[in-house]
Amino acid sequence: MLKNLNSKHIQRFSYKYLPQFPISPNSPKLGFSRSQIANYRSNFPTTIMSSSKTIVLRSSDGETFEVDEAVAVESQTIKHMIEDGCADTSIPLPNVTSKILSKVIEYCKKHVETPNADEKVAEEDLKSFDADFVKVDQSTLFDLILAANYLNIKSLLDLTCQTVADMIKGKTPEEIRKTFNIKNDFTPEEEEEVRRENAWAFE
Amino acid sequence: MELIKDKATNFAPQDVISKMPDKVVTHILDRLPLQDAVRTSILSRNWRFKWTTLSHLVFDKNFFEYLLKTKSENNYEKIISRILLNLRGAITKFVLYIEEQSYAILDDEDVNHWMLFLSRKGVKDISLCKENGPRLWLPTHLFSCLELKHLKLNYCDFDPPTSFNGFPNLLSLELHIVRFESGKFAEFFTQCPVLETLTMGFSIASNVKLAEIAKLANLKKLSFCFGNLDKRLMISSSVVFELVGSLPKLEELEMEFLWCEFIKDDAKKRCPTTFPCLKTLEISTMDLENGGMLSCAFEIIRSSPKLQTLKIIPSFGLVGSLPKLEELEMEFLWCEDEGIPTPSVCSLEDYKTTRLLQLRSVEFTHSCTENELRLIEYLLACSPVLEKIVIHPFCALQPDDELRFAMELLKLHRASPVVDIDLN
Repeated sequence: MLKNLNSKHIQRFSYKYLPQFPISPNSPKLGFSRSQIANYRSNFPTTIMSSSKTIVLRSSDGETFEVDEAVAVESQTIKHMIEDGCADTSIPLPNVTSKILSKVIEYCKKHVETPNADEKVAEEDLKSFDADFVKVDQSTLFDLILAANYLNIKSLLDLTCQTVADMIKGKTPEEIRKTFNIKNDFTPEEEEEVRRENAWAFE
Repeated sequence: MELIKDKATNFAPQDVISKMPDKVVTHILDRLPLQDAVRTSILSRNWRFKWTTLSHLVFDKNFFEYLLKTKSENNYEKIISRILLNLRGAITKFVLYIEEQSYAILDDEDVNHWMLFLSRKGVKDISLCKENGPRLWLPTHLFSCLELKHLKLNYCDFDPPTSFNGFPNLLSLELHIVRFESGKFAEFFTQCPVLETLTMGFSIASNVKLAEIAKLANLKKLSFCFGNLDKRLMISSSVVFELVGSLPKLEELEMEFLWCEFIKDDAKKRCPTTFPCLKTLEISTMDLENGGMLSCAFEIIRSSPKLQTLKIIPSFGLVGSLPKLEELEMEFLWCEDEGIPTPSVCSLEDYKTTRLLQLRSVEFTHSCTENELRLIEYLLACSPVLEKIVIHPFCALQPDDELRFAMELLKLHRASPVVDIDLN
């Protein structure tokens, strides 16, 4: 069917029934003038306007970080603190070191700044940012998990837990022990017992 | 000596993962296939029962394929029952996939007992899928899972007991090849007051009535196959407008027109209402040669002031016959300001502004027909904030046609200075 449709068919439908479209930008098309369009466009800023309010966060080792409120409220914990009115001076975060806090802030900034995260281009950009973000050593990764858990940042927690899950998936128990430095403290009898209880998983 | 020993242990690699809080370990194990999660019980004494805090139970195709490879393939029920007995935390997600070979072994009554167990654990997300063989019989205890938020059913008969009063917390419902008794649909929908997402794949025995779907006032996302309606051979613009108009909070709409006959209305229908919240529109199997369908799509786009994303997949069955030019002209005349009956309520100025679209992204599958070009022309001319338009070819086209199509595209006027046209 499709091969019947060739260039001859398309050429047949010439544009004589429709208004001509010269490339010149000044001629109005379909009734819209340039000023009308510019006016309309100004209603849709494509960048996020920065909020004038900033929040100060204090890490466990005393360092302070100033962030936009929009970035800070990615953390549900901080959001509730602000709503409860505890954020007048600075918010102390005794469970998070400055090294980890700076990384978390970097993550939140990137996720807040990406407009329309359901667009394909922005989505891919964000994905590659996330992939690079978790290329850190194990202890930093687990510190990030604990920070995301404490600060209640769901997307960061999901990302970091997924990374750890990928490190476990498909490995034998011995390989997992080696990756995470887990010491096998079972006696041979106990190990046999565990294998028997869920035999289907060990075949 | 002691000092050196201390330093040595400080620099030895630490086992950090075993000290993680339970909630975090649950998050991690939930993301593993079930057999990997259960296998962590052998890592160390500390890890022996960590897997019992699992909150996502996924007995899907992969799980059964894994079991097939092991020696315990005939013991599905025992394995699943034993796993359930071990779990001590809340269970939020349960997925069960039943295949023809295992169906012969999975007893309906077992599934029912598992459902009872789950309903007491506050399960929030259930998927029951069957792909072949006789229809799945829904366990009666499924209807006592009142905390359910997400439900997905595949290939079954929906037959609730008379004491069923609906799922008060149900947010999303996905149904594929589900058979309802006539009238039960309406009853079920009125009993799910907070439903936000509804997905209905094509099911010839559905016989849904439009009025039934219209009762879901809170619906935000609808993915609907018009072939499911009881009058699928007589769909017209008014049917579509009525459906979309009765859902005021709708934000995402996916319409599938497979197996439908779209009839043209006699008068050129203007859409009676606007769709104030509609942000995403996807139309599949849209017959671009059908004037009625084309004008219907145009009307919906025009009546959605907040529409941001548009995706159109035309049907390619009727490419053989192209429409007469007069007909085409008629369709597009109402885009211009000459001699068209404008609605008496608004002035010409208003008419112009309501046509400007907020579209930010368009995705389109094409096969080099003229109507497609017109559609893209309209979209480009009326979308001042358009950022990206992606045009996929439906199949491998002759390079001549593609080139000509691309050249025509380049000549089209664009209202948005930043639009990125992507021809795959």
